[in-house]
Formats: sequence, structure tokens, C-alpha cells
Amino acid sequence: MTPEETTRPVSPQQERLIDQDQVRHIAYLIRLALTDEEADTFSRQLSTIVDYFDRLAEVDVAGVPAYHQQPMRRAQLRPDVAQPSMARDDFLANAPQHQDGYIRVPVVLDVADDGGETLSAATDEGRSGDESA
Amino acid sequence: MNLHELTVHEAHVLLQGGEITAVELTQAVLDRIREVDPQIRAYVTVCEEDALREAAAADDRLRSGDGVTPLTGVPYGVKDCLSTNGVRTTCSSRILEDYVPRYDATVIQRLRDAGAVLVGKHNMDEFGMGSSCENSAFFATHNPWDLDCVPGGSSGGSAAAVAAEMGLFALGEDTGGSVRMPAGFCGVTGLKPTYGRVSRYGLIALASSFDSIGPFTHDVRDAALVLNAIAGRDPRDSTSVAAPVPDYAVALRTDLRGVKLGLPVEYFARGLEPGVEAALRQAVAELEGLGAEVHEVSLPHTAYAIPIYYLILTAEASANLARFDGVRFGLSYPPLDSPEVVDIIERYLQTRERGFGDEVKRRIMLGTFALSAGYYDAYYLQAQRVRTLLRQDFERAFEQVDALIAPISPTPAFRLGEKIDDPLQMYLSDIHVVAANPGGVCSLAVPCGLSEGLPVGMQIVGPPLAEAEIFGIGAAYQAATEWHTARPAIGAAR
Repeated sequence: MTPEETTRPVSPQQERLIDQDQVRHIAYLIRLALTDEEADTFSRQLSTIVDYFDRLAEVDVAGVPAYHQQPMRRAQLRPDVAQPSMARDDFLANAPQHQDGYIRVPVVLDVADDGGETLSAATDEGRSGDESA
Repeated sequence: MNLHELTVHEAHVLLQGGEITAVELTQAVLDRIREVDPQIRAYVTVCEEDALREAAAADDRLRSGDGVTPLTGVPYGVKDCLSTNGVRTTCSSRILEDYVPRYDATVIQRLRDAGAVLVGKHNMDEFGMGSSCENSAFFATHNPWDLDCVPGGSSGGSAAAVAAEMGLFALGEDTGGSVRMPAGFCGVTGLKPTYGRVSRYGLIALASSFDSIGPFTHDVRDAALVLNAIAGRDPRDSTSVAAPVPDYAVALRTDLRGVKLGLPVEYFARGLEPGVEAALRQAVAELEGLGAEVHEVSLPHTAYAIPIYYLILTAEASANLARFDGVRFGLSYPPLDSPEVVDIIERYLQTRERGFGDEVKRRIMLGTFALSAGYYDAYYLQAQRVRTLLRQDFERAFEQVDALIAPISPTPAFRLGEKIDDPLQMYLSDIHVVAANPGGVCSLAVPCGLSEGLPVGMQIVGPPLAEAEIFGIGAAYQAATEWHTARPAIGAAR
């Protein structure tokens, strides 16, 4: 088969399989900011790709087990015995910010009201009062 | 004699005989990198000082004779998705641009133990997502045979580095053709071992059920020597297989009497560029001349290999790349010392927007779509069911024949920029290589001709854990032909 024969291009007029709202929703699920222009481009490209992938639906899979649901015959776990792991300083060496042997993380919950007290020790103390989210 | 042109087995004889030193050999490779890499751009990082220090240690070992292996003192480079202790490991992504691992991947540790000398890290499509090496966040790599062409992907830097003699061998990683396809485009030998044959510990994951680390070399003998060093069970990878590792270098043969080879009709049906088809047919005739029996076989689900592969790959990749969150390691945006204050969700959004390139964004969106409520059954689950059928195709074929002979790509290397704006066309260039990964087989790529001056390669595909058998076939082919000795005309002294 040639690539030409296997492609069924989606014409611009044709309804897209994945519209821009879906693209924005998916992007938010995977925590990816998108511009409007990117949402449009990705909607067009993903629709073309998914349209091509729809050929899978023509395969009769009645009674065929999904590959990933078959028993793992080969996976072998090592004995559950404690052994030395990477040193803490090595773990922290690549952290964007760390303090007192811990990774500093941005504010996770809204700390504007009470309840922020317990969190602030584990978050970004110097800034937590300014957080509005 | 130009030392950088040597094969691994040639270098080993000279090193062991004391005719050259590892420092001389390593310096020759570093000089070669300085000479030709400005044109090729295969290396993201060159670790000159570390390499010369490792080479000096290898010379001590060679002088004492203790623990000398066929790789002792041999300079090599690796795809930049393999963790190297103290050496930047980027996956050619902005999100890992400054990441310096504090541990070695198991394959790197094993090569260090063998005394091999790491000279640097190779450019790739970002996180392995691409078929041309143009999706690197840093720069594109050029094909040493024609600088206007791509080296293939995603391990394009590794293939180009070996082809242009900037390292005697390389390690790449093949998730759906990423070793074999660039090996074919660059005219070198490349192996996708069986999944689990080589430990994935320390490999930055793309698709965890497909990823296979394998060598690029100038010939099959060298590939066997490298696999000898890296294969085998690793307690740190529960999917690494416990099957014994044979000495792959003794499995090499010079005739093919009694060997049954299959030509999958779907791969030869139509659509091969004439120069590619002619080279393949000639290679099949050579194999018959060596005594092999050749039969046609059928792999009826071949037409579904691309959607199976891309749906499962993107689903697994979308989960694997969730770890890049701007908190534990890698890029964090906005910079933590900037006055701008953002909450953690906003930090995720901005870090990932800036850290990932377009193809990465496309694929993790596609994978999330394939896994999402309402679409999971039609896409991800359907792909995993048809994957079972695809595997059964291979199992049936291997009841009839010992190995399959297949093209690597419908065309030789395409031009830089030719497919970069059309993601689906780029995916379709993988049509002959992707099935091996969901299919669970091993596959060896060897050069078998030239089409208008560009290399053409063939795949020798074997059943699970039949690396010794496909090496045997490849070695017999290379003993009778010269294509693996062709080198591109680049640099001085040609």
C-alpha cells in the first residue's frame, strides 16, 4: 500500500471528528495551555489522524482478548527486601526548588482562608499569602 | 589508517595487540566529531574530558589484561533518552534541557563495566516522537549521505553518528522503528531486540510496552558484540526476561542451508519505490544463493499496524509524560525566582506548554482522547484487540519459516521539511517497521543497496528471542555482499 492510497483526507468543510472545544478539554486534562490558533490546528490534525484510525473498526474482534488484559507471563518481581536507594541529595539535585531536604512545591489548595496554616509549611511560605487561586 | 573508520571488532584486535591505545582511538573519534558534526549535527552533548579519562582507564585495563572485553576502549555514543550519570540527558526536549541524571541506565552501566568509552549523547525526535529527527527541540540532524535529507527517526542522531564515523557504535531505542528506520536511511546495521531482552531501567519512557534498546553498528558482528554486553535480566526492570543470553557472536554463520525465509506479501504488494524494490529483490536472490529456501507468507493485519501502534503508543506516552510537572525535576515555568506568582495548575499548564514541542502535544492529546470516556472502547481497547490478531499473524508465519525478509521503508531517506507539516504522512512512513513492536518480535536492519545514491536497507524479522538466528542470517548476507562496507563521502581524506 502507498501512503497516498491509505490516506482519506478530511476536507476543511467536513465536520471535524475532534472539534476545538474537545481539544481544549483534552488539553486541560493533560495540563497543557493552548492558544486559539493551536486549538484550531490540533483540531484539524487530530481529526485527520483519527479518521484514518477509524479503519480499525472494520476488524471483527468478537471473542478476541485485548492484548494488555492477558496474564503477564514474564513479569518477575524481585524479593521485597529493603536495599539502599539513591541518596537524598541526588534526588534533590534536579528539583527546581528545595529546602531543608524537601522539594518545595507551589500552593496546591486555596490558602486564603483558615486551613492555610497547616499547608503553608509544606508550600511556598513566602508567597502563600499572595496566592489568589 | 583513520582510526574512526574502524569496526568494533577491528578496533578490538588493534587495542588488544597494543597497536593502538584507547586514548588514541577516542581522540580520533573526538577529532572526527569536531570535523564533520557541524554539518551532520548528530550530537547534543559531547563529553570530551570524561571520554578521555575513561579511555585512559581502559588503557590500564588493556595493559594489565584484566577484565578486557571486546568493547574495552571502544568509543561510542547513545541516544539522549538513556540516563547517564553526570551527563546531561535531554530527550531533545526543552523540558529536560538542563536535566543531569544522578544515575546510569542499566545499559550504560553494563557498557561502563565492559570498558566502553562514552563520547556523547545523540540528537533525536523529542521523546522519540518522530520519524525524521526534525522534531528535536534543538536542531535537525542531517543524513551523512545527503545533507539535504533526513537521517530518519527517532534515533536519527545515533544512526547518523555511526554512518559518519563519529563513534564506532551507538545505542538507540526502538519503540516503533526508531532504530531500524534510521539505520536503513543511513546505511548502517541496527537491531530492535525482543521486548524485555534488554533492560529499560534508566530509559526515559515513551511507550512502556514497546520500548526496546538496541545497537547501531557497521556490521552484524559488531551488533552481536554489543548485544552480548547489554542483554539479560535486570532486577530493576520487572519486564526484562530471564531467558539465558547466548554468545551472539558465535551464532554468526556463512551459509543459509536449511534456513526458511518468508516474504510477507503485504509488505511487497505495491508502493515500494522502484530502487527500493530492486534492492530488496536482489537481496532475496543473494539469500537464496546462500542456500535459503524462500516462501511467500501472509500477515493479514498489516494494514492495521499503524493505527494499532499509534493508538497504544500515544495512550502510554500520555501517561508517561504526566511526570513532567515542573515540580520534581526539569523545566519549571514561570521561573521560581521571578516575581510572578502562579498556583500549581497554572504552573503545570505553562511549564508543559513551553516545555513540549508540537508533536509531543499532538500525541499526548491523541492518547488522552483514545483513553477518554466514550472513546476508550472504540480506540484503545479495539487497538489492543487487533494487536492480539497482529501477534497471531506473526506466530502463524513463524510456524512456516525461520525469519521474514521485509523492507524498512517504502522510500530511501526523504528530504528535510518534506513531511514535517503533515503528521499523518509522517506516521505512514513507518508502515513497514511499526508492526514488530506490538507484534512482539525482534528485527535486524541491514543495508542492502543504494537507490540514487541513498542507502536502502532490509529487515530480517525473527520470532521472540531469536536474535541469534537473525544475526546468523544477517552475518551470512554480509559475508557474501559489500553493502555494509559502503561509507558516505563526508569529511576529508576520501
